[in-house]
Amino acid sequence: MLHRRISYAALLAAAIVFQIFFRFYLSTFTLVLVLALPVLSVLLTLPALLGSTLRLTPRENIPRGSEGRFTLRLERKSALPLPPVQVRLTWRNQLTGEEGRLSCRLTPQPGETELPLALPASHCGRLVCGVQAAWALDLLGLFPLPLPGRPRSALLVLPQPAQAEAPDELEAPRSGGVVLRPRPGGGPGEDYDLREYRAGDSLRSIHWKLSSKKDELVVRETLEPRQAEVVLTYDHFGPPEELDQVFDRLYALSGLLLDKGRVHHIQWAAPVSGEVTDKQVRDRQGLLACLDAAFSLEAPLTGRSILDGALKLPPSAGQPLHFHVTARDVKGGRR
Amino acid sequence: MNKRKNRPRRPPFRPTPASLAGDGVLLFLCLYGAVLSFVSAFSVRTYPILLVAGFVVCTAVSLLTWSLPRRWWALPLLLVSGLWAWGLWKLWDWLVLGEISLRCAVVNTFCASLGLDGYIEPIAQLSPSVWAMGATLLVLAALLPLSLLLGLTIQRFRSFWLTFWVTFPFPLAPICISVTPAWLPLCALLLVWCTMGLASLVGRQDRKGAARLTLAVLPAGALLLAGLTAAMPQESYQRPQWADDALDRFNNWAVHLDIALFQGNGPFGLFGSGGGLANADGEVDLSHAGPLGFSGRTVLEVETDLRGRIYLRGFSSAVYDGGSWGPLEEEVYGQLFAQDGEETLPGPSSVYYHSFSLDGWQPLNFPALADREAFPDKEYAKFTVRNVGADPGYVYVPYHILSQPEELGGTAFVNDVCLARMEDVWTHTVYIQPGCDPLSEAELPAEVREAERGYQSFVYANYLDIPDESFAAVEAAVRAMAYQLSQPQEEARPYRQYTDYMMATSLSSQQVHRQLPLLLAELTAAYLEDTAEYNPDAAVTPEGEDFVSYFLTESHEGYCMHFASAAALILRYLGVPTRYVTGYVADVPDSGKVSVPDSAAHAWVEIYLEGYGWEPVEVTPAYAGGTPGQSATAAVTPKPTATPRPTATAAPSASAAPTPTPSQGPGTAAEEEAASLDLRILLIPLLAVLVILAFPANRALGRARREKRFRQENTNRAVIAAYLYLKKLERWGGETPEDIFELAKKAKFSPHTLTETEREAAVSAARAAAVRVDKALPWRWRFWCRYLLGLC
Repeated sequence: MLHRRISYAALLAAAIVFQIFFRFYLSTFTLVLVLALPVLSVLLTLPALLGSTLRLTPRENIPRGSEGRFTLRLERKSALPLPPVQVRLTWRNQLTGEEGRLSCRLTPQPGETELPLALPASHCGRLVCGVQAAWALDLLGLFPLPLPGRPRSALLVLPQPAQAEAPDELEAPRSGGVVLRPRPGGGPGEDYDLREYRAGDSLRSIHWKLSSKKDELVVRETLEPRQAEVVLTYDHFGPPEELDQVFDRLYALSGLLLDKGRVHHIQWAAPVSGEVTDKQVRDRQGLLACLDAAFSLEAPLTGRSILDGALKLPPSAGQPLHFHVTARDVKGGRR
Repeated sequence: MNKRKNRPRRPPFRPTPASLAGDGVLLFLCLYGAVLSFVSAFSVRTYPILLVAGFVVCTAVSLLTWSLPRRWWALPLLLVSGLWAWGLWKLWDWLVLGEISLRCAVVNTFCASLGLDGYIEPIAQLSPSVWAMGATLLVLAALLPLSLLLGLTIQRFRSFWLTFWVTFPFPLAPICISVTPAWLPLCALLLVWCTMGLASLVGRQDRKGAARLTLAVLPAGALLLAGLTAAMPQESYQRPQWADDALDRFNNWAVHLDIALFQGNGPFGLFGSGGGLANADGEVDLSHAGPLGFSGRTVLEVETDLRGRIYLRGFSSAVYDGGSWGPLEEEVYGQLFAQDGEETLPGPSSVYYHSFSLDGWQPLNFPALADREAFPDKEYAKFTVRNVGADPGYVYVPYHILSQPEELGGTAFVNDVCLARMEDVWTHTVYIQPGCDPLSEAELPAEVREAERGYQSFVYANYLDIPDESFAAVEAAVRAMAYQLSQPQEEARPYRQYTDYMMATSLSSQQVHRQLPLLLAELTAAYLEDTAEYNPDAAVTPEGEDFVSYFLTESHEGYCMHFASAAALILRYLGVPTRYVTGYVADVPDSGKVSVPDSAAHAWVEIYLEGYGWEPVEVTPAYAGGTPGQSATAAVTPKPTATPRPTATAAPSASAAPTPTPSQGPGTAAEEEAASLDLRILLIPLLAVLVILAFPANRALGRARREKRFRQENTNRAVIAAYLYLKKLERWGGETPEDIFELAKKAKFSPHTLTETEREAAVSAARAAAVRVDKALPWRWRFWCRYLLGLC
């Protein structure tokens, strides 16, 4: 709109020259009119401007390497037309810290106006895009007037789908994949465990013979075989390329476990504080929620490994099957 | 073809009720504003009701025509054209009458506005209603094509600029001659421009929205115009001071530039030079002395020790010829003002009336020298004047100059007429002997007396002439004065003083030689005040009439030029040597600084007092009571050096408008420095620099255009541009790679869009070829190719 500003400046200059050289009323009137015209222009633009809303929506989560697609939508309620809208957007991959900005121009049409946006998504992460500033020029094209609202939205750049092999320990019949855990409600059973009496235990469960020997109440707790908790861990730091591979493996392994019907945990340590985050994955939605949480946390190049601390599991979980995913392989088994 | 192919297809034009209403109102206002602005400004007599009906019909015809799809335009256009031609044929006689009426109105408005004598009237003796009907029909005939044209620009093109340029000439024509059209049509036109300007940004992207916007802007714009008109009543209009100041500065700048570059003969001479009273050639043209008009611009900037009213003398004129005042012939002065050893060779027809010299003494110094002799301890007064817009030929100084010819810098006495300004010097300083009184005991020093006596004889020989054409009127005026003197009831002060003087039993020499001429001058001024009226709007003296005779016998009204001319001749008749003086009157405030406007221009007379010199006398009633030689008083100032020397400042040559800066001390060789700088010299290096800069600018411009073509959004066109550039380079030894040729063919003829990679390949090849060509060319062809053609 530079040419419009130059044109107005020329008009103003002409009005000033006219005022200087033309001695009568018309020259002053013209000059005042030229000065008042931008005010009228702004006033006439306001109804259309205030009746417009800008929205930003993501298309869908995408695999790494494709383009992150958002849709910028201008919704108008006013019948008066709105001059072209200039929008400045910023985007950021919250995991890798990559960021950028882009500008676009919306030419408002009656009703809704849509503009597709494509953002680079070369690494896994949570791609957040937001409108930093949006403005429409007044009818004369002189002043930028801000549009209300700063919409913001995000999508996940998911790992590349890959084939994963189940670790041997998962496939082992009783040695690794199964653990004995107390049966709720007790009852008869081949496997049992002994423990001290706790208030509320049934009298039937007291092992009287042993209690008399030890001179204290000992309870026989019936055990039943149950699948061991599977915990997948990874280190939330490293170069983006390595993290991509880590997440590729993690995603594939988690998907495999879900395919096998195994509920599992994904855990990682905050790279700075070391605090462990535990997410239980029951289904695909849970996996996406877990990735959403993981991708929202920025991963520096170095940090604290989850292997340096303890896993975060309930005491009743027993000994879990722990697999640590790295860029090169998957390590671990029963810990 | 390519452009057309790639341009997004514009949706077909389908007018909606809203767009028809908006465009209809705009078109009607456009026609109303344009036509009536013109008609009202030139006072063309028409029938407004018929015109308004014509606007409505033409608006409807234009709207209907352009609302049709394009393929159906021909039929209504043919029909309208046929009807129009038939109307012209049937009404031809009326249209001819209308043309005459319109021509007379336009010419007469021009003459009235520009003060020209060219008024015309139709020869045919017809009633005003016939002329008005003819003009109305002519306007209506012109209205139809105009409405079709405006309909096209408003309805179909929606172009603000086209509409503006079609309608702008209608009000512009009268505005150029300072005539404001009728307010309502003008506001209608302004409303159309505002509305179209405001709707232009969204007009093409959303036609329906633009139509709604037009309907919204029209009342808003009308409200704004009405509000402004109400808030700024025309009746109480006062032009802003800043505009006056700006015009003032511009005029001064233009005058200075004109003088610096063209010696005053250039185009900027249009702006006048000193309030219209004097020309730079020393002549005062009386025959065109009509109503006074001044711009109020500053012409002189004064800084002085004097306070009160001072008369700034420009130049005096000695010869009256009935229509102008002019200087004495150069030959008449003979040896009078020649310096020692200087001889003036006689011309073919020269006759030397005065073969003696004043020995370097200057008559304009006589009164100051006499007063200095009588009052040697009196303080000097310093006077500095800067000419910012007055007649550039003269230095305007107060009376009683002490600075003598050899002490002046940047200026010089021209005979006994004036102080002439030297080239490029705009600021001058002279020293004044304040408070000189010819009736004091002041006598010239002994060494000057001989020169004064010689000059006295010159004065009596040359400053008493009255042309034959004026003689009778002047004689009648003197007789009337004598008659008034004889009336016993006449108690006015000058008459009483003169009577007392005549009744005195014994008169000293000074009373005879000094008091009597002054009394006669007062008597003359009183007589003129009684018999004539001061009127700054006095009309021009009819052609062939003697200026003074017409004033004394017919008009009896005028301003300073009339009064001073008449008084000069009357006094000459009474035997008092008199001359006409042109200058300015300034009132110096306590600050000692004053900007003298052009409206302070004035004319008065000087009478010669024997043994004393020229004494200014005020004879214009509006300035009555003024004593040009004595009114200003000197403020207390530090005493200057023993011999006061004038200073001059030279205009710096680096500036187009000379803005003198205070520089040299008193008594230095100011003249040489002042004359050494010529602003025209600046033009040469300026032009040289511009020419030198033009070459790289041309190259940069060419490169920028080329890169823009290479980087355009359409990759096909970018590749074609790169190919065309390579073809141009072929003439200079470049080669077009075969793959680029293939790419160009693909870009031109293939329906596919080329990729960014292909564009990059073509552009890179073009750039590489340019580098190779640039290196291979010999230097002169390289220069040609680089800087003139902008290829490399």
